[in-house]
Amino acid sequence: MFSSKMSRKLATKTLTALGVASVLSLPQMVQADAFPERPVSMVVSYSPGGATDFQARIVTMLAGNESYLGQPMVILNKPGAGGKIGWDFYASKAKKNGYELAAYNVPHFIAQSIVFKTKYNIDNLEPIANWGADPAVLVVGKDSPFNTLEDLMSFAKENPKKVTFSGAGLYVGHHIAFLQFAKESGLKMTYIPHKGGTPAMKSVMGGQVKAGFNNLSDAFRNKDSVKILAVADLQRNTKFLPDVPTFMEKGVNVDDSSVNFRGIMARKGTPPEVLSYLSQRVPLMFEDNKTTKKMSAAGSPVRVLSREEVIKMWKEREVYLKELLADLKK
Amino acid sequence: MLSKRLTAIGGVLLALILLVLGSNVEYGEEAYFFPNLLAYFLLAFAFVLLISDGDLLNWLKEIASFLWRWMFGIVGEGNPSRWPDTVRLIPMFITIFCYLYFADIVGLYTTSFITFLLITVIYTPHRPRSRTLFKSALIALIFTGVIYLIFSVLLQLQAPSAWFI
Amino acid sequence: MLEFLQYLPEVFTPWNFMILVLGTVGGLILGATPGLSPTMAVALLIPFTFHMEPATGLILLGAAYTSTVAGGAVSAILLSIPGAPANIATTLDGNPLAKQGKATSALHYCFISSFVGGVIGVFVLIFFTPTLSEWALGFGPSHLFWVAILGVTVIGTLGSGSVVKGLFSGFVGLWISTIGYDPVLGVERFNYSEHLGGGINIIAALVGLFAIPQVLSMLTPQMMPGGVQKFAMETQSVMTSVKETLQRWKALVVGSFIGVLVGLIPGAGGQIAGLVAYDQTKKLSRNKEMFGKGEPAGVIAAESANNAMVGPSLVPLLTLSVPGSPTAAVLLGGLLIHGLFPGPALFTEHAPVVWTFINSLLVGQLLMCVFGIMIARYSRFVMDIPEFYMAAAITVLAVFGTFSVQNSFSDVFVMMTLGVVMYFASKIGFSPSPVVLGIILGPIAESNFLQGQMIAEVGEGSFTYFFGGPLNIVLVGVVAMSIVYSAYSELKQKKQQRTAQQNDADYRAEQEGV
Repeated sequence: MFSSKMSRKLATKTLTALGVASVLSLPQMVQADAFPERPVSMVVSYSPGGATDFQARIVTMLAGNESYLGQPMVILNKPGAGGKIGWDFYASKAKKNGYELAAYNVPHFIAQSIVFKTKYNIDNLEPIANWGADPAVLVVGKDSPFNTLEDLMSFAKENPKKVTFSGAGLYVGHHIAFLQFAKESGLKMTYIPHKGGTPAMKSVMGGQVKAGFNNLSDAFRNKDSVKILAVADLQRNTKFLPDVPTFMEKGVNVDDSSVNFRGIMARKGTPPEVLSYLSQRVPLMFEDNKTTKKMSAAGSPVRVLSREEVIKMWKEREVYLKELLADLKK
Repeated sequence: MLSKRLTAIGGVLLALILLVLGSNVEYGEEAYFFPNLLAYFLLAFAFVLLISDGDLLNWLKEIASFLWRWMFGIVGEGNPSRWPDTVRLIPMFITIFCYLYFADIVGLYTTSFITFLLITVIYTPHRPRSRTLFKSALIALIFTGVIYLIFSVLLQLQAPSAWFI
Repeated sequence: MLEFLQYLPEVFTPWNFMILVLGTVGGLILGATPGLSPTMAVALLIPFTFHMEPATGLILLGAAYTSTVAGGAVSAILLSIPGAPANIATTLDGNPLAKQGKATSALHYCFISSFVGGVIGVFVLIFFTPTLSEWALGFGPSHLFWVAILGVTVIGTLGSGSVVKGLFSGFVGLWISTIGYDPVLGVERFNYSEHLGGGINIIAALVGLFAIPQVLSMLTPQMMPGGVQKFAMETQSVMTSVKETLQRWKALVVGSFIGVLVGLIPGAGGQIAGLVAYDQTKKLSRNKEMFGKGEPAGVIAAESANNAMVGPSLVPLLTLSVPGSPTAAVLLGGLLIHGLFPGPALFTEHAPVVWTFINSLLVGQLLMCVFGIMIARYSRFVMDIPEFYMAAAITVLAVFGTFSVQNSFSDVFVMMTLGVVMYFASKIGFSPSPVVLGIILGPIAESNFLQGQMIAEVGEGSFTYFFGGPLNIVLVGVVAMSIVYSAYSELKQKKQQRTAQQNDADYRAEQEGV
């Protein structure tokens, strides 16, 4: 198996060399047609079995189809430090040839690039397409005295700082949603960071905290043990939670800045023809019936956005987050 | 004797306090260069004071011989005719270092094969002959093959992209 | 209640049963490989279940979970390298037993007690799930903090030699665990090199601290304390082993009970089950001084605890989607991929799948025991491998095992560095187990303390938060008892030694007088 793999590697090297040579003589279309001639890898900055990981595995399972990439996509998990390890690795070590891609989580990576010294920011990465959007929702335990957002807000008004919120850590979507909620409602409340969304949800169910922000998908799955009071998005989620109002409906100006967008990105410097090839084909793969069926079976909301839409979304998020987090750091 | 030792220890403490005062300053680090240098000298003199005390010299000798035995031999009795432990391990340390250094440049499986072979060849109690070398290479190849089967085929581990696999 | 019997035949359909057998045998072998922990084995197998039927996929994951936990004991006993953090306690008595030429019986004890503990654990899962899951939810930051402190009190007794050395290395471990990014405080600490950015991975530390010193001491013929020693393996009939295991029923009971309890508590990290059970068994035992020198009860307590943990760790997972152990957390992903949402509805909507899965865990325990004992017979061949081949193989395996945890070479560097430092430390009487325990407990103690502190500040105040409520009082009581008892037995032992010396001196004086 040694030699076969080695010779394959040699063969691909010669092929690449030939490919490079052909670019010089032939129109660009040829190169783009030949692009995925071996499997494409994708770095996922979270551990296997986590929400980002299994969604990434579902949305890339059809990559081998001729109508999409024609080559399988392989997931490479590099977890650690809330995603920082994987993205740092990707933005500094990955090759810029389109064969090494990564999954992104907005707003996590943008917020981290603002708060910490990271090797990545929205300027050295190129989005390809977005596959999902998981809004943050406000949850309380099923035995909680709060039945509506108003109940919780009036209690928080009378008891400043007494309402404790759990969330999946600092500078992640849940934290952003909390900051927005606190800022827009003018209430004083306390945020308790947890090590991930599951422990945060557990604290809400067990009554260790009074409320929490968590993923819509996780809250939906646990709807028997928690009450969902509001969604931090522009519209209600008609598919999973049609009865839960948005914050805006309740008069609190919390927009979709905390929505956890997941998608695929490449490094800046990837050849433009490869980028355009990927950004044409990948969204089609996300929209395939098989993919969406499997995603909804796993309780994960799908929202496919094109490359242009994601570029715009990233920029908006960065501007807004800089402002929000500047208030926080003081 | 006691007074001498106390003076010397006092000197060491004083020098250390001065050094702590001079480090971790908020700004103007350059301005502390000269005072810190003086403090290092103070520390050195205080150590000389400590050592010039005969008792402490012996004490240091004991420490040194313990450290020597700890690093290079086994604590307790050892066989003087053989190489000390750490010296025996030096090739191993070098092999490990090269293994880790080259693993993601040359290729994880290739370096693993070479490392396995090197360790077995260096540490075999038999005299190196071409036959034992061949045997070791064969075993190393089989072992790396099994590792490849377990990790790359069965567990789908993605080896880092390198020259070879 | 007996609904599970209805779905028992499902496990024995040819395809499911084949997967179960393959998963069990594979899990035993993978578990015995240093660095391949149950958490990782399950994580790496999840993609495989992708294209399987839900029940079959879960059978594979369940079999891997059960058997890797037990398989880790094989290398713990034969080489003093635990396959997973859960098997640390097994090395303490398992390896000395092996060195005394009782490796086969040590392996038998291990698989038989794993079976007993495992079956008890699965029965807890079958019969008490709804009751216990509510109870498990009640564990908040203050309680977890006390559980972690209970773990810290175990540290001192782990080192084979002095208590102070054990505590010192335990606290070095606690300090090591503070390296890296902290999600509660949002800061990076001691991030001197980019390799440390993700913190010290527990598996990397485990492999480095245990495996590398063993490799190095294999290559140096002079023996060091706790070093590798060639030994022959005896033959022992399985029936004798069963009898001997059942004779130590106290260790079995204590081990299974603590395993069930620790497995139920979400966030306590099932990894400490074995160590806590070992410590308690030692305290309750009449011949304490035999522990650490090859006492079968030590192996039995540790192994029954870490398999008893498997079933209960799924209790809060299946009903509330709150995992009871790191492996159960990974298993959650495996459930979600198949559209099985944990919750009260799981047992009604997907009853066939869930019950088949639980039954397979039960059958898996039996298969694990049978195949484990078969493997024990062949592990003598492992011991016949010359040292230099063994050293080379373990080095390469350690690198692969560590790398595959997070696809990270940083972890491999950390593993090697810790290992080489540990080699020199072990030459002057330090042992790796307290360090690893420190690394496991550090984050649990710290993050729960900080979270509790934050909650208490805006609530009832720190004292009432950490000491109020029945659960806190019970836990504080257990911690206090554990400390007082350790101190008491230490003093008693000293006194006995002194009287023994006194008697000796008197005797000598008498002799001289004569």
